[in-house]
Amino acid sequence: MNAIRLRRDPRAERAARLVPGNGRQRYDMSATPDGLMTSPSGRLRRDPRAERQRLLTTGRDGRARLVRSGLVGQMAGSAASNATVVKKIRVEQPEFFIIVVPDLPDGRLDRSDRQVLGAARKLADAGGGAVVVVGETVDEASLGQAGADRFVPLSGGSDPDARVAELVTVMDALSPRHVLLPESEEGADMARRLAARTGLGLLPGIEVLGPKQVIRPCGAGRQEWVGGLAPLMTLAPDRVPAWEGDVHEILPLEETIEGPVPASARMTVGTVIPADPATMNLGDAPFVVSAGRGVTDFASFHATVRALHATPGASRVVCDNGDMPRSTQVGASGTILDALCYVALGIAGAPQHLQGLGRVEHIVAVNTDLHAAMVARAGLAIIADAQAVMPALCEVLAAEYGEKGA
Amino acid sequence: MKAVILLSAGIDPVSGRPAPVPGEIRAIGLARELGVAQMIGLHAGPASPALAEYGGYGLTHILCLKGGETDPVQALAEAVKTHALFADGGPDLVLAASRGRGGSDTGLLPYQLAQALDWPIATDIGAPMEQTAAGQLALAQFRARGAVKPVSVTLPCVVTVPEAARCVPAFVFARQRETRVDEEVVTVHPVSADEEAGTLRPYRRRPKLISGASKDSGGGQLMVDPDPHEAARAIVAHLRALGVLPNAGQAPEA
Ligand SMILES: Cc1cc2nc3c(=O)[nH]c(=O)nc-3n(C[C@H](O)[C@H](O)[C@H](O)COP(=O)(O)OP(=O)(O)OC[C@H]3O[C@@H](n4cnc5c(N)ncnc54)[C@H](O)[C@@H]3O)c2cc1C
Repeated sequence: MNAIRLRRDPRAERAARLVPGNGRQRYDMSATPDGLMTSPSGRLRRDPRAERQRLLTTGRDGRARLVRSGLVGQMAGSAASNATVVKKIRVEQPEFFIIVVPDLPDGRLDRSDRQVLGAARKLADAGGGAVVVVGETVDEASLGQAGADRFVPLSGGSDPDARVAELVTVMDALSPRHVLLPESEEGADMARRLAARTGLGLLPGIEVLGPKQVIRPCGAGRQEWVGGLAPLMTLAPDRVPAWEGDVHEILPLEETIEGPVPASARMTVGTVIPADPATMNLGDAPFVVSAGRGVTDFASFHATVRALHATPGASRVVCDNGDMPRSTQVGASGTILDALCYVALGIAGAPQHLQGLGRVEHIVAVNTDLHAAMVARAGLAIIADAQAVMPALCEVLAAEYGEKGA
Repeated sequence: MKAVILLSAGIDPVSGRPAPVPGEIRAIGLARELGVAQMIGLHAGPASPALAEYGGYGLTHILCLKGGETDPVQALAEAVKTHALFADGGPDLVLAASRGRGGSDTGLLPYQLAQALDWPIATDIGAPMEQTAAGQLALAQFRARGAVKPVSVTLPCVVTVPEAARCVPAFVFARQRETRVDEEVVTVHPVSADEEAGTLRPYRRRPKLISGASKDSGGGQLMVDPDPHEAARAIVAHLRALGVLPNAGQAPEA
């Protein structure tokens, strides 16, 4: 215990609270004069006025409200949350550039594009660099959210070599420290074309990316290569997280970029022809509709599959009965699917069948049995007779898309 | 048409023993489907018995460039341009696998070779398409989910073939036995010897990031004994939310 107790000096405290009012001297009792107040025994004193002030917000209807649960920032419509301006990060004088060439399928950043941008952000933030996105038109809000600082539009032709020539002019203007691409079909092709054209070192399919070293598989996937970063790198999917931090602002680029010298086109690439769902390989199909032993009306089943523009599948029992060809069998002894969505009509969901659905994310089940394994696995389960649901589906689809869809 | 097929010293991913690379086997099949009259296999490196296995798939003449392994691009480009085999007209096509299997597996060599020869390169070609113009080759570029992009390149060109191509030629053991594997010593002068300094070690499997979308695995929406039409509308709405069905009004593409 302290031998000498601190004594309060009420006069001095009052004097410290004196504020000049208009004309008259006033005391502001809510102001804490010298930081935190301690009691004579050395304990912190509560300041109920200041605490109340901190909890006070303006509610949706303009009335003053006290929010006691610490949720001031989350109160929907509260003046406090409206007032917080979204602060964008600006990278104005970058030390270096990192170029990202996203795939932009349908003009939007996809999952792997965001991951590459996340990786670029990581490399840029380690040394004060800026991330430059080079690609066809894309909306700037999503780019800033994904962590980009600059955007350079490309003209986008059908000749990959012309695209490479454009990229080379951008690289010449910016002399980037690294160029990152996704190891997707288009990104992988572009990275290798760039590497062959510029003679820069390429490290494709990187699985671990650090500030000083990268790891990539090689030797038929039996070995891995560990070493330093290269000027050109492509990232394997789902290895580096996307940028989750604050939004970056897309600033205009100071450097000027000249157009490339047009070269004679030696190659043209047409637009994608999607596979015909009715005949495509079951293992590649994105959307499969399958029949199990609960389906007896196969004419109706085929009509449903056509109406949904799906690829037909079947359980083993159906194939054994000869109702569907063996090539449509889904499961351990059939095809393992890589589909996005699977519709199971009258399938119980035996383990051997479920093995074929390993990578399928979304399942819709139609079954009369509430306790079937397939129903437990489904995101949408309909407990009904498949023979009744299938014609209803055809009718609903025909009504929505007109005769063309049915 | 004359074609050169690039062969690499591939290994089997499971056993680690020398084995043909799937993309190179399919390259032989694609060359046949394109109606190539004469095929020669080129390998930058010493001859090895495993190479004869390609003969079983129909590539019965293989030339190995011993000493070329220090700079394979230079050795192969030299051979394609000036080798005595092509005295009566050079090859129109160079086919290779999209990815090697057993080396650095970057898939970069065909691109570098195309650059050295100043030929165009068409990648991930899985099948020929209907030929329209002379001096041009119409090919089908294989994309994910069975989609195809039509590609047209001017000859001569380099073509890479992915593992997903379905043009696997039949294996005939008798042909493997009559395969000619020649070896020739070549000298190359590697210009840039700045090998990326790195170390090799056994592969370690690392977990991937978890996909945020797989929340559908059980415990979803349940409808017990609904009216069939109500059920059908629920299914259509659910499929549309997943993006597998086009929106109402716009007819799905045929
Ligand atoms: C070694 C081995 C390998 C196998 N490999 C495979 C495989 O690769 N693929 C495979 O599919 N199977 C495989 N099987 C078979 C598997 O074990 C099951 O027998 C099979 O999957 C069951 O098929 P099912 O669900 O269509 O039929 P059932 O098990 O008979 O289920 C029929 C389901 O339909 C429901 N139903 C009945 N009537 C209606 C109606 N009117 N409307 C709606 N629903 C209705 C029932 O409630 C039931 O849930 C394998 C088995 C073995 C031993």
